[in-house]
Parts: sequence; structure tokens; C-alpha cells
Amino acid sequence: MKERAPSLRLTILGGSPGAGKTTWLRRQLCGGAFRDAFVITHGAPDGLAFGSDGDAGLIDILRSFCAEPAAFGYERIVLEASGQADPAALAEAIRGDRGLSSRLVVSETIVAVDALANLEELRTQPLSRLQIDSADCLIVTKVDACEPAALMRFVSTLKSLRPNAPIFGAANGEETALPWQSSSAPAPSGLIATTLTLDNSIDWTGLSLWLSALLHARGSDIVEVKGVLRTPAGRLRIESSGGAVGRPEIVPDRSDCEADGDNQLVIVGRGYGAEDLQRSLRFFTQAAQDRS
Amino acid sequence: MCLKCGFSAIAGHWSEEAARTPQDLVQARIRRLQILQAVLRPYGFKVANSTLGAALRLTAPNGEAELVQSLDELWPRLEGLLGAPLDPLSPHFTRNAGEAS
Repeated sequence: MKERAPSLRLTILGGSPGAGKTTWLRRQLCGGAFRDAFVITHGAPDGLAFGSDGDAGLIDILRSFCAEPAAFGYERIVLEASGQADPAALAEAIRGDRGLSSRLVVSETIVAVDALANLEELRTQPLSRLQIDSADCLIVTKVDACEPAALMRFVSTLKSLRPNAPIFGAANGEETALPWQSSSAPAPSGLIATTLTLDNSIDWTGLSLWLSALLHARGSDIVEVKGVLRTPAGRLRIESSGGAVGRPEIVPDRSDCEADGDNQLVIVGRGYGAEDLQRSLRFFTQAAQDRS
Repeated sequence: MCLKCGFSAIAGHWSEEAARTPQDLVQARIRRLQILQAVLRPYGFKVANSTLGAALRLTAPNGEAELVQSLDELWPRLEGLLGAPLDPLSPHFTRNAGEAS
């Protein structure tokens, strides 16, 4: 069986000019997020790489980076897109490029939205709507400067536009609880994140059968599944969104410290309890072990 | 399109990505079959590996047989033949299958 070269995941960070993308990203980097990533800032004066001539220029930058031997030292690229960019169009351009599509996998689009610009911007700026429509995850920035009632209305609108996208608040780039998150009441969506810790003898066949059955039966309730699992083929990253599993990717071996998060499957969804997942998965994997 | 079976050529299913060698793949398909047999026995279904690649031969309690190409096709076909949803989180589902295995 032919060995595949590891792919680079691409996280696109989009949002209107002044929405707070750079502030948020800087704070995340300072906090240790995206440690495995090479960061490209497009169309901004202080990035690690520059480009201001639209998608074509950006595609060239990405091609150059992917051709560098140094690229093999990274698992991911975080691309802070220009405020004028539509992340969906950008992703499409990357997928349509033969060279890049074999090396880059657009794994997520994070969009920063300015709480102060609020609903008015959504009404008057078609690009803002396009950016929000492309989001897998929304960061509502400047929440500390926004009235709670207005913020609630704004977040509810975002929720109705992107019902499956998790929404987080941020102030000066730092994660900040949204109004309902600061109380003991559950989030309106009722989403829970469950981490299933799998032992080293995890049976991939049982797990994949279970996951396919789960996503078929509960796909509309399961917002996201992700994890890196140790399999005979190597470290396999599995991700799903919208009820479908993307093709798992082999990711390079890392040091023991960095591989601590292996064999953990995070499932974000609603309408069930964590114990339901554990019981059901145990049933499938034990069925595999009993008959191996 | 495969000239032998008439199915369109499709890429391997994501559930088979952990196989490193052809032997791993064969073993995984055998285990997949064992689990499915255990899970579906209480519902009266029989499952067999088809000789056509990753396909599965599914036989309903009334004897009706179908060939399914992947797990993505399996679950909706099963529900169609059963006339009811199959929910792996339901205690009824695991209890039934657990008792029969």
C-alpha cells in the first residue's frame, strides 16, 4: 500500500476590517494555541508573510511555502485573511489549485465578528454575511464594550445564521464569556463536549463502525467530532462536521509530550449524555474484542 | 465503472484508512463483519462480506438481499428494510444486541 505524505491543515481566520482578527490571533498565539502552525497574515503590514494582490497572490505564497522543506515541520497553517476576503471563495480557490489541493486541507474557518458593528453591518455589508456564512466557528469580539441585551440579540442572530457553528466571545483578544455562559444556565443550544479517552488497544474497526452508525442516527445533533488516534497506519487524525467524516489524515509522530492528546475523541453535540456515548462505544468495541 | 460488478469506481471508505497493508484491510473487513453480525442478529438480519471489494451482502428477515457498498449506505438501507430507526445511543439497541451475542 502506497505511503501518503502528511497533509497540512489550513485554518482560515476571516472577518471584516477592524473586527479584531489580529488581536484575537496574537492572544491565541501568546496563550500557546496553534503551536503546530505556521502563521500567514495576508494583506496586513505586520505578518510573517505578506500579500496584498488578492487570492492569486495568496495562492502563490501558499505554493511557495508548501514547496519549502521547512513546511514538513508543521502540521498546520493559520491564514489570517484580508478583511476584504470571502473565506469560502478563498477555500474554493485553494481546493481548485491542483498543486495546493494535494498538500493542503482546509480544515476550519474561524470568523471574527465585531459586536459593536452589530446587526447594522450584517444588514448593509454583504461581505460580512458571506464571511459569517463561511464560518465553522464564530468569535464575537469586543463583547466587553457591548450592552448585554444588544449582544444577546446579535449572538442570537448569528446562531440563527450558523446554527452549527460554536460561538465564543472575546475582549481584547481574550476569551470572554457570553451573557448566558457567565451564568450557571446551560448554553441555549444545549451543546455538550464529551471527551472519550480510548486505551492503546483501541479497536479502530469497532470505533469506525460505531461512529458511522452514530453520525447516521444523530448527525443533525453532532456538531463536531475530532481526535488523533494511534492506529496500525500511524497517528490518524479524524474529523467530522455536519454529520460527515472527512478522509482521515496521517499526521507525523511527535514527542511523547506533544502526543499526550492522542487517543482522545472529542464529540460536540446535543440531545444525549456523555454516558450514552461511552456505553454505546464500549458496546461496539467490546463486540470487536470478543470476536477477535 | 467496474466492468465486473457494474458499480461505479469509488475511493475507499474512511473507516478503512487505518489499514497499513492489504492484510490489515482483510482483517479489518472480517472484524467489521463479526461486529455487524452481533449487532444486527437480534433484528433478524444476516450480513456477509461480498466478493466485490468492500461491499457487504445484507439479507433481511424476509429473505430480501441487497448489496451495499459502504457503511454510508448500510445504515439507511437497514432502516429502510427494518422500517424503524436504528439509534446506537438507545439502550434498547445495545441491550438487544448484547443479549443476542
